[in-house]
Amino acid sequence: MLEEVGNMMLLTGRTLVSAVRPPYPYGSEFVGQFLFAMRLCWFPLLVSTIAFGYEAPGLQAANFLVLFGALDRLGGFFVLASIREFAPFVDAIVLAGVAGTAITADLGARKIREELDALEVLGVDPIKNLVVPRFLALMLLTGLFDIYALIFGVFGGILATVVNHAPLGPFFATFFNNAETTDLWGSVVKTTLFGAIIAIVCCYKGMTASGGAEGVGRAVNQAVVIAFLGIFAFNYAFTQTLLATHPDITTIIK
Amino acid sequence: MRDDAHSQRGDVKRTDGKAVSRVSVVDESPPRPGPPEGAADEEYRWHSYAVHPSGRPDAVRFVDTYKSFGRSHVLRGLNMALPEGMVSMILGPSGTGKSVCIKHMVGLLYPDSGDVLVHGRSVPDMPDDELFEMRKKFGLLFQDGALFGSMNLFDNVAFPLRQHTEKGDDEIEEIVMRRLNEVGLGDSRTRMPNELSGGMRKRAGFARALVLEPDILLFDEPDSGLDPVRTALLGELILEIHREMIEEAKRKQREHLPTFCVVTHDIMSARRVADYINVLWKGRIVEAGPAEEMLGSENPFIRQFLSGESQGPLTMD
Amino acid sequence: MEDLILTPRGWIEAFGEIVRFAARMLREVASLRVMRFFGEALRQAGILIVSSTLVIWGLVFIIGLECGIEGAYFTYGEGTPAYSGVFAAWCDLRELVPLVFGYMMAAKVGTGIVAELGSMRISDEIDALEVMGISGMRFLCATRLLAALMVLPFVYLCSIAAGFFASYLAVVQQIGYVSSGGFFLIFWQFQNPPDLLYSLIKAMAMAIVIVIVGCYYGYNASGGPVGVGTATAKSMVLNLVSVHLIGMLGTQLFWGANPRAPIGG
Repeated sequence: MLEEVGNMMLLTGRTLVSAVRPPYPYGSEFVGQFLFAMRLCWFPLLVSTIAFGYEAPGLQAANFLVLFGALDRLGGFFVLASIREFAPFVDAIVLAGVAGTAITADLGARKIREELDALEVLGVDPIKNLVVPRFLALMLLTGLFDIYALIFGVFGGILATVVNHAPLGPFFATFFNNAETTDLWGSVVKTTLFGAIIAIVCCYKGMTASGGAEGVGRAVNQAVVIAFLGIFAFNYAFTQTLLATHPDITTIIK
Repeated sequence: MRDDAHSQRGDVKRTDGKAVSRVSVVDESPPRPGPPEGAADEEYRWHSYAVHPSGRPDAVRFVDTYKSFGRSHVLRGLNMALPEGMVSMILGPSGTGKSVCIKHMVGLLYPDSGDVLVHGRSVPDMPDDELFEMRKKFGLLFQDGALFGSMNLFDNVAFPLRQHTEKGDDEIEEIVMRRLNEVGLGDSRTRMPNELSGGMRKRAGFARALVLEPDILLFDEPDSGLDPVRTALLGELILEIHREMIEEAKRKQREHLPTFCVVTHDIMSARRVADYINVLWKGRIVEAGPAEEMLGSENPFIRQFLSGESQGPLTMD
Repeated sequence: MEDLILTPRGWIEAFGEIVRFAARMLREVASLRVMRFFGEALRQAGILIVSSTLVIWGLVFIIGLECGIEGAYFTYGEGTPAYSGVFAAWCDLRELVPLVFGYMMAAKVGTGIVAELGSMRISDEIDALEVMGISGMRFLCATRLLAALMVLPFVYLCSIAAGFFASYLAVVQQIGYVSSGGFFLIFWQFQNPPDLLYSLIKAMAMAIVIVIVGCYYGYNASGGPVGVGTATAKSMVLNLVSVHLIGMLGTQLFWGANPRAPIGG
């Protein structure tokens, strides 16, 4: 287990070095992977974010705020909950579960078909040509999809407001009163790092898939478990630090 | 062992008389069937459909069986029989649907049209419970043994006994060890399947197929992935066990004599092991009959295939 | 690579097949025919406990901590730090613990089943079972579902405990705006047994769907080890979407019209 974490760190380092050091032959693969992951994820993410936004920060938070007669603050709560926590969270889970597993399955297939060995024999560096483009594509895509998840998460919140027969005006008023660009930037940076975690874990597991009937399936299984744990642990550390240093950002302005 | 049965040939067997050799006693020869839809006459010009009788009842019979997967037509009007109490062989070039035949016999696949009969009972018409009951008549040796990865060798071989019989642990142990010793794996009883070599996995699968004393034992490419010496040894093992099972069946006066069927494209094992040979190509039988007659066949396709030459009707495509 | 992408048409087709598959599986369990292999079901239950519970609890624990600190800072910012127990009671029990349980079930158990059954399918082990006169559906799929039904309610209740404990740690021990007694007063006020039951129903619905989807993709895998990998990845997509949809429907059904809170306007 520790050895695996160490190997993943090593892979991260080699990927970063390989990404900045010329030559840069991975442009087309980067675009291909980006589009591939986007086609995979847009629909599951759409359903997931609306469902999640409507459910957790929508209905339940509305229930809570109705108790205090402060449903108009739901918009403000959405800034707090959706931008800072839920959108990045759902974004990362879906990207890991959908794009991450696809990357592991794809690289695992190449590994057991001995394509990776063939590449090395041909003098092509698999890290530069396979891992780096996936790493960059997934980072960029997870960051962009954060905004996408945010928009549709807020759509879920709007649904919840409508279901509670409340006017939408105050929702948007408190939403924009509380929304700061720093929040958005923080959220995007966080998800970009989520993307990096997903890409490294999934590439590593794919490239080390063992042969045999169970090999690739088992690799996908382990990749998604490790990616989830990594995302959760990183998210916890991030939130902990952020809130401990800036406890005031949780206040909702009327 | 071939001479003690009476001639009970079914009426489905066809011959056109062209390639009939000395022992053939055929009352009437049905007309030669046309090629299946969408196929040129040309494709089937080597198919004489001649069937030299074996003089035995059929354990398994295919009647005008068609089967396609999407756009690939695998069985295209197959008529084939496996005579009871013999080691039959289904021979054919790669990709002609030999393994598909096996799956039809045990009801893992159903024909698109036509019928598959096992001891006279139609497999596709059986309800599920009866099908599971019928399958207990079969033993099937899969290409790679298909041992359960989560159990050791002993448990793998004991599995059918534990599931299907009320035998006690001692009796099961005795039967399993006898079978494992027969296939030469008595010392490896506690090893896991992934620790075994390919040949050992096959032999273990053989032992597992034997424990329920099946009437019909099917071998799916037993020679794939084995070197020629191991293939020869496995062939000998098959013959030896077949002999023992015949004797046992006669002693116990069982209703059916044990039938073995080997699916392969390896000519060497065919020459060594087979009593009866079906040659399959393009989803139909080219010719079928007892081994020595087939090996002396005049049909150019059969001659080419059985001698493994590059010159002849069979080409790369 | 292209076969990893599910088109809308593929979704609908797969959905119909999975419903049929699920009906067969549920029939095997409901008719108790699966009881013939009760020993195998117990074995699967054991495997489930040994290999999956810790990682599920771990993930729930992290989300409990997270819920706790967010809740504590949020209620502090609102000027009502005494109410941070509400977050533990609502956010944990009603929403996040079921969801996170679903995520980890899908990731660990769901894909695990696909990988295992898929490898059995492609190495002919399922055919071997069938030839021995044993229904693969019953022996492999129905026993797994039965094992899940036997074990997971307890695993889930323990997950809730882990989440609550983590929230308590974060709110009371770490941040400390509220005393232990004050936390528990609110914590117990804002939940009652039906909430627990609803939460359990939500989680079990997710678990059942995940096991069925896992069995479907594993049992019908084809195309060698590569096909098993593809099937494993695909099952994850469907499971994530189902988990979110079940969570939403459950919340709407159980708490949508009635917040079940001890105070109210």
